[in-house]
Amino acid sequence: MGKKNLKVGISVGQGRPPGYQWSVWVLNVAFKEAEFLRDEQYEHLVLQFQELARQEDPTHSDVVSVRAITPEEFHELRDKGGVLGKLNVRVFFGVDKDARAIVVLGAIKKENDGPTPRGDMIRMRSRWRKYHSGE
Amino acid sequence: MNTLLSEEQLNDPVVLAIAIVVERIQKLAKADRDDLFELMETLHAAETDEEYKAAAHGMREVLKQIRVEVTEIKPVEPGQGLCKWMEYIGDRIRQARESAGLSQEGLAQKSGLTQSHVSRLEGKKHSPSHLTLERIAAALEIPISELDPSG
Repeated sequence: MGKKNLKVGISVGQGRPPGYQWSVWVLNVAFKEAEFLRDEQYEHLVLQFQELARQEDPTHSDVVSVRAITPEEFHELRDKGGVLGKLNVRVFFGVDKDARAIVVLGAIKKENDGPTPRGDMIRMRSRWRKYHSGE
Repeated sequence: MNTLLSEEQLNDPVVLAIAIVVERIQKLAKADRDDLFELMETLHAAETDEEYKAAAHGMREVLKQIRVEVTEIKPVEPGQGLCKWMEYIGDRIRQARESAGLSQEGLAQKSGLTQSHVSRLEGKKHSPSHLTLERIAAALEIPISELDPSG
């Protein structure tokens, strides 16, 4: 299933699939940002979020690299290699404990292992705030 | 639009652009304005093209005042491209584990993964992250490139 198909027929609030402790939600702007990914790369990253959604605490994982963005209140999933090839992908997400949802805020690609640019972090902070305020 | 501008100023595209930006900034909530000013400082201090573009992107987004909407992601059924990779990497992990004389349980213990996760990888049910491949390669004492040639 490609990322374009995922946009069709999905809605929030239908409950978590069996075996998952968290729902995975994505902001519309994050969808648009993920257009640099090929279908198999997008699917690979969705599978990583599914792994997080199976866990009691989705902010720590033994199977995928997740780190807290401090002092912000969101996290970053990093991955590369495999179907991602040379792409070094960072996907930002927050955890809405009340809604029991992992909320994907956005994604960037890098050509190196260097730090995430400050501008991207501020942009994600702004989105996370808008998500909470319902703007 | 700022009505304090004269007709002559309104015909100057630079003055007009500045007036539009100023008006937008004035309408921003305090938190957004703080973000914008921090982004401007980040842009000014940028030392790489990547940092500059990220700050500029952020400034555009704050000034545009995008609305965020949420969509739920349902579990995916991997397509042909990802299945091909999962088949390849599943076989590579199993072959490397067997060459090392380890059971799935033994590999799980050495790598810090669960046996069920190793089983899902070898069964081509999941696409491993780079972290997972690093752990498996370290446990098998082989370079990660023996599992994932893309790196």
